[in-house]
Amino acid sequence: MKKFCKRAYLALILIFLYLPIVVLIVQSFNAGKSRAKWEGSPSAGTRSCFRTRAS
Amino acid sequence: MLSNLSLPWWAYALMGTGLCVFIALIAITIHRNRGMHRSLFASPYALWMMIFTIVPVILIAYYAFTDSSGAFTLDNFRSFWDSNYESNKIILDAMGEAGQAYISRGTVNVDTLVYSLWMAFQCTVICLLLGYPAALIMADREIKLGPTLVVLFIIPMWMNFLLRTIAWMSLLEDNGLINTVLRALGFNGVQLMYNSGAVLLGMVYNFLPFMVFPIYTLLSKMDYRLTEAAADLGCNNWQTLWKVTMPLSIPGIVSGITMVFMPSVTTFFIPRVLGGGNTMMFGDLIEAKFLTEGNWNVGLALSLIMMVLILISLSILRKADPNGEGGGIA
Repeated sequence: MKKFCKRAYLALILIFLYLPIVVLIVQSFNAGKSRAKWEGSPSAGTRSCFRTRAS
Repeated sequence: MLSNLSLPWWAYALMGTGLCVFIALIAITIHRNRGMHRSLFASPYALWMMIFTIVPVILIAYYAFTDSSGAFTLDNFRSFWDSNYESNKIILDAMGEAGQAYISRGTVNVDTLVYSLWMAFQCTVICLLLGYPAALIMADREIKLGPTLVVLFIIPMWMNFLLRTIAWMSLLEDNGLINTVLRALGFNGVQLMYNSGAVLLGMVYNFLPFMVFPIYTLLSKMDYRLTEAAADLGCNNWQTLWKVTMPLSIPGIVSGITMVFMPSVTTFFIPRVLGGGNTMMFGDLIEAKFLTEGNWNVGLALSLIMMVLILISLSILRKADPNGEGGGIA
């Protein structure tokens, strides 16, 4: 039980540290300009990153 | 603006002479101690420190005490006390309503400094309360995850803090993740951003690892037999923690406090993103002096005040860890 509490505490701290990063990774696949709205087409945002010419 | 930066000819001459003297001293030392070459390996580092640490500090002091034409003046420090002073007007006008509130209260710079110190104090206390148990568990011999967890704590720091702060925006804003989840569960949305609580959250998020590492380093080096002995002699877990582990980890706590307090006093950008520009911290103020107003002299005068404050707090903290056991940061 004690061991579980210790692990749970560490897990909470790590969730606190990683939550924004996970959000950032997910948002990088968002096609729209706004972070608030999900606009599908997951590959578009990532694809433009590897292109020189704007499409 | 860059014309502000041009130094009088004698400043260059002085720096050049200083450099020549330094190189000559190294040459003389090499000549005299032909037998003892070991300390010489430190001389490139000493030179580096000279050029990139000491000279910039001298430059900061030079600009803080001169006006844009290079004449000696104390007016840069006057603007610290007097927010109706010409040079503060531009920044406060640019801030709009919040700036007007500062003007009506009178002392923008002192207010900002007090607010920064208060926020940094809160941030340090929260980091200590969250970080100490984490470090304790990481150093726990039963959990055996220490090294892995250190890596897990370091990885978020590989990302720039600006990006991580903006990521918090996606979580906290009115249509952000947390509010979406709350609404999906049938609660009303909560205004989470644009207050000092959000700024504090951002600061704790950014500086928590700096509190955990020094304490963990010290605790993992601690002789575990001491806690076993305390248990044998009848201490319960809390007594062992309070009377054995805690006193032994004070150097780590001291350097943790230093590592969190110093960057959090000078925090900038986080208040602007998560606080919505309603409140300013001292780092924002200095940034605005440079970038909004373009007055390097006043900006550097404020930086000098900040540096003096940090030096004072360091010398106080040093008293708690006189032997530098916690890495000698304080």
